[in-house]
Amino acid sequence: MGKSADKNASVFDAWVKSQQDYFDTWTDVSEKFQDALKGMDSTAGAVSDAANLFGVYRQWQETFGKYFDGVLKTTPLSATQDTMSKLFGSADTYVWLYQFWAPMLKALQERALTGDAYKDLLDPAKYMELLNKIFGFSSAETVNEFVNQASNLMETWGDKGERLMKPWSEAMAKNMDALTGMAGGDADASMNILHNLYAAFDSTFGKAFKIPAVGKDREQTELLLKTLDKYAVFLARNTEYQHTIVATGQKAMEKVVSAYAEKLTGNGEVAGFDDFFELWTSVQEKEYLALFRTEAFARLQGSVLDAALEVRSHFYQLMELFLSDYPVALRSEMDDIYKTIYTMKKNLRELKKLGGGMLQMQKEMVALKRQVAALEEKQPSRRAPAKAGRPAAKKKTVSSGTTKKKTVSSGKTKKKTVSSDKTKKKTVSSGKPAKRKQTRGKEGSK
Amino acid sequence: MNETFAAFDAKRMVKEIGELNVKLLKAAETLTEIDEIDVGTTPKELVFEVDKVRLYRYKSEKKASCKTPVLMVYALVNRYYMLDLQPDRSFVRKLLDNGIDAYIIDWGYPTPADRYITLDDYVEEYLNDCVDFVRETSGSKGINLMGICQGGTFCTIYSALHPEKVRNLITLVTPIDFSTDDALLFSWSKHMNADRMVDTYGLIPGHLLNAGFLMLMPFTLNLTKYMGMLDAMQDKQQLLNFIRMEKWIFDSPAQAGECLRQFLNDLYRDNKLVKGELEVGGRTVDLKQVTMPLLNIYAVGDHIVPPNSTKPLNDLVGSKDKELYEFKGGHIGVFVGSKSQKELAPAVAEWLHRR
Repeated sequence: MGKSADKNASVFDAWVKSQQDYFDTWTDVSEKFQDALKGMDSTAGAVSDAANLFGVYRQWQETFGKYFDGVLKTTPLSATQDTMSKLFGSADTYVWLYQFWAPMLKALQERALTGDAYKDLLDPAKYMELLNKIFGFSSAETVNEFVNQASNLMETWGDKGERLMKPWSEAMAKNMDALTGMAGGDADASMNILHNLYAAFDSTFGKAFKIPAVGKDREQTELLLKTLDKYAVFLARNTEYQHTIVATGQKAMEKVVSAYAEKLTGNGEVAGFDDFFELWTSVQEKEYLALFRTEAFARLQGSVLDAALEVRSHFYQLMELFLSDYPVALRSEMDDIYKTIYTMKKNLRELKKLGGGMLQMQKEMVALKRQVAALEEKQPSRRAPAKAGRPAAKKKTVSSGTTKKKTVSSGKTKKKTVSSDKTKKKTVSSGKPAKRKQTRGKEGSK
Repeated sequence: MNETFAAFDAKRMVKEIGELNVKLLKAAETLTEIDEIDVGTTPKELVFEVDKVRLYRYKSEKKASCKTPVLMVYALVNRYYMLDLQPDRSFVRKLLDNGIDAYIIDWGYPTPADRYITLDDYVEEYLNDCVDFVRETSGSKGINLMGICQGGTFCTIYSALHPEKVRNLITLVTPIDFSTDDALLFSWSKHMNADRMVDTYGLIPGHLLNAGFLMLMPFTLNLTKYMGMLDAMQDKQQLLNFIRMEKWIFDSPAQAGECLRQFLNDLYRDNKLVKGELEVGGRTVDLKQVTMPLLNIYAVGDHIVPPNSTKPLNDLVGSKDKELYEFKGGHIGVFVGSKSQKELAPAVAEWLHRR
């Protein structure tokens, strides 16, 4: 690894130099650009200008990021790889923020940021992308992909698949526009999204679900429909969740603008984008924490998680059905085995404890018997007086851990008492914690 | 108006972005030089194991001056080596330096085969086996038990069920009263369908719990943490410190579903422990049976286990000798911060020596 580090160092030096040269060139170009911008409409030109400059940066960062990914693949340290990827992701978000805010900050400085200009400058698609990076929301493409795949499945199983999925595809296309409107603060947009989804559901699965499925694939068809139904419910709840997040972000943005304007007009200083970034993140965090603390949000989050789990659960059942014809162990079968193993282990532990307890009792009984035997030896024996011609009663004691008491009296009564417990020396290691390693799983010690 | 950066001065913007990227390059370069991420480096010996659970005894050059050993019990949701993250930030080392004979439980990484392990099993089987081992090895009738976070909840339950085996009980940032809404996890979990989660997953993946933890402070934990470290990342040692913490944060074991079901339903949702309704191993857990000396440590700035969840323990136990210790820091700072090294660990050692 040391040699590769040296090799990388020289490569890096070359890279750093090339980047320095690149930025010098970029600075020159930008200066010329700047001259060209003077006299232009300060708000209208800002968005596209920022896009040009940041677009160039973005390409550079993407290329460089890929280079580092390749280098890091030589190291087995997943923590390092993860940290690198998060570092680049954060830097990417930072620059996204810069690009997003540049036009508005310019307008603020020039006191051209009115209510209308604010809405014009706010690029909702970019803002959504920013929130996606932080909250990890799945994109509409994922939804479309799922719907397309479900459509393919339906086509395989039924000739009406395309007609069934078409309303969904159309709803998704409408929702893409609605999402943009929603990010722009259109309160009706989120309701339209929900309406589009439910309309699609009503005209397709809503009808199909009421008709009992027939044929050999009945079970699969019903399960698939149920899964898609659950997914529709999840989409609706997730949309509401995303809307809540986006709406809070917008509120936070307005507070950032106010706070920044205050700094501009007051005694505060914003020396660089770093300072602005700090202001932005602290205001955002505060607003989101206030949202997270509400009961309504906790309930909403719980319902989204619940809906997602329902989809997953049905998906697992679907997979089991698909795989049931193949020679693979299914999850439900493995769960049965795990349950059996768990129960057997528990029983074994109980038995060992019991065995340990019985062993302890046995030891105590043996000790007690020894005590009794010792006491009997000390005490004078109680014998019947010897009668003429008759031998005295003989007492026979066998001592090898076995107490065998045999009393024979003068022919009248024969009492034979045999103690059945025998002391056997047996080493049982169960029930007690081992002094050394007691392994039922992996062997070996560190 | 103040001179600001936002004059749409392309030259200034390029300069700022350029500086950012130079830092990024250097940080990336330093990252590729990291060969190993060493955590939990204090020497220890594996002395006992059952299933995936392992019991380690720490080795110390210094002879233990406290006769009764301490058994440290960490939570299930994260790895125990947080207590021994690096040589200069090790709660364990400080205890050893202060004459404590220390053991620690490693709960391991549950697999799907472990999905049916319950809270009862963790407390009455695994923890009990480890306690019995330490008792037998040390010849002590009762040992010192130190629980951290969820591990502290387990230790408290255990101490109530087996007070004769516990000489002294120490709890660090331990959730006891779940009725408070002072922390997001507490209010969110009341609306979480634990049964559905466990029935769906069986074994709850670590990354799912991580996603929840990251949502507690989304901007700080996903964004500003990394941007803020850019300057420090050019120093290899500082970067290594950062990466060790990153490794621990994302090294989350999966959770045995049945245990998590019990924990979320009986504790987070129904708050049975405080109400005296919690049943473990067929017995009701009565906190009044906790009669041994108690040192209950809480962190003032804890956003995961708020003080109002930890502090009530002192009013619920039957102990006469009990102390509430306020630590000025956060949930993680209580074991890795410099204050923890200088103040808390010695205070814990001194408390134990006096008993």
